[in-house]
Amino acid sequence: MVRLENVKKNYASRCVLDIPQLQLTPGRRYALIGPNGSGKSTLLRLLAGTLLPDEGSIHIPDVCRQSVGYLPQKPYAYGFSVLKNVCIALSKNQSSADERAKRALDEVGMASLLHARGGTLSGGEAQRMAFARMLVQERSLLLLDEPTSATDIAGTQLVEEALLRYYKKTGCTLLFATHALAQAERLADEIILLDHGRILEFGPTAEVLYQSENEQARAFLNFWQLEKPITSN
Amino acid sequence: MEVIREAFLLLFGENGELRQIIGVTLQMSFTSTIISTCIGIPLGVFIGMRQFRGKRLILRFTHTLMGLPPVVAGLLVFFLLSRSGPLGQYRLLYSVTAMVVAQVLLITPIAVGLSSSIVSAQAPLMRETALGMGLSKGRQLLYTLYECRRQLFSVLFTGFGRAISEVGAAQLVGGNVQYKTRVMTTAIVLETNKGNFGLAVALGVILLIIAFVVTSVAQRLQEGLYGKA
Repeated sequence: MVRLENVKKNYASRCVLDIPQLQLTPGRRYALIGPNGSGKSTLLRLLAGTLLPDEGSIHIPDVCRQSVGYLPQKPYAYGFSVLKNVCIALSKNQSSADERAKRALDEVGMASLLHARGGTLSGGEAQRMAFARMLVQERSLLLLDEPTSATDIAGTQLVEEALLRYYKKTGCTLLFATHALAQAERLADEIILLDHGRILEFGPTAEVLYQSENEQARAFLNFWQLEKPITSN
Repeated sequence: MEVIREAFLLLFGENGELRQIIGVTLQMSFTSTIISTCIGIPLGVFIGMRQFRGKRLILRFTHTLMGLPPVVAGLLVFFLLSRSGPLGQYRLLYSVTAMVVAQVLLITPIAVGLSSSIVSAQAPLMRETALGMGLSKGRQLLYTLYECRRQLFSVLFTGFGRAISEVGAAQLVGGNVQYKTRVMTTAIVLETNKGNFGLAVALGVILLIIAFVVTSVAQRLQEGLYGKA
């Protein structure tokens, strides 16, 4: 179980994250929602280990720590081909690396761009390529920072479908940040609503989205109206 | 036009001294550029990629040294290599080696500063992506060097440009000794002091032509290795 206790993170003198306690159950899907600057990316970075907390502790089981996958908000596309960009996520010894990479790229609709240079991709294409790079690795904890923020509707659908297939196959713990509440509703079992670095709400998706009694949370959720009619989980 | 004609006559005429001066100039510039970049680029890449205590202080120090006046560098090397200096026993003062040492002192901070800026501009994004994939530090370094290869190659041009155009340190530690340590820039100063302005300008034109040819060849080499930017 991934556990955070009294975790605080400051940038300069500004406290951007203050989480007294948070537990993530293995095999569950969590969506991180909240306005800009609410601490979503910081929380993901802390879990990924690219940032260290100023206070508190983060417990990630050893088995999990070895296989944490993290997709940053602006993933880097290396200058070589799209295929090689995906292959670098696999070790050289892994057999049929090319085949696995091609399959992953096909899943996100990038099969026609195998030999395009990473630097020539659009923002959405680069994001899908980086997502394919995640798919070729088997991870037990997957951290995605707005994985579809730059993709079009078709691309978003492909990424979501691929993500669900990956989740069913690996049974990983999934934590993703998003601004699309409808996406959170489609993909997540539970929602963590952050504001000013603090957790406003944490619970099952439907409860947070439709039954929250927290005034601040309600204000946020009403402001960010859902993109589609309410459906039960 | 007269100046250009004079420059060509000097370059291709019977004056053997000029060719010797060009030889010393190129020897000094190439050697000091290679040594400086071999030290400066790895150091700059390390500083650019890593976060550590004192990094900002080191960078501030490096940026200060990037503007080190050549005469000050020359003076430092002069004291080091003079007979009473700590390295006086090697009798290197007024030699091409002394000039190379002074140039290395001048160019290395430039190589460090530029390389660290180049790498640090890309490093955070690449580091985050690489860590997310679980890449080893060795592979992170390899891919960072690959991504920054063109810009890092341009550090060589900058270093060479500084080396070939420098005069203060070369004059101080080289002594402008005829047939030994006279380089293009010190020759220009000498001819100007003698009142031979036409010759001085002609030498300046030749210096520019040499810099242009060397840079063009290096650029072609860069394009051959890494493709056009």
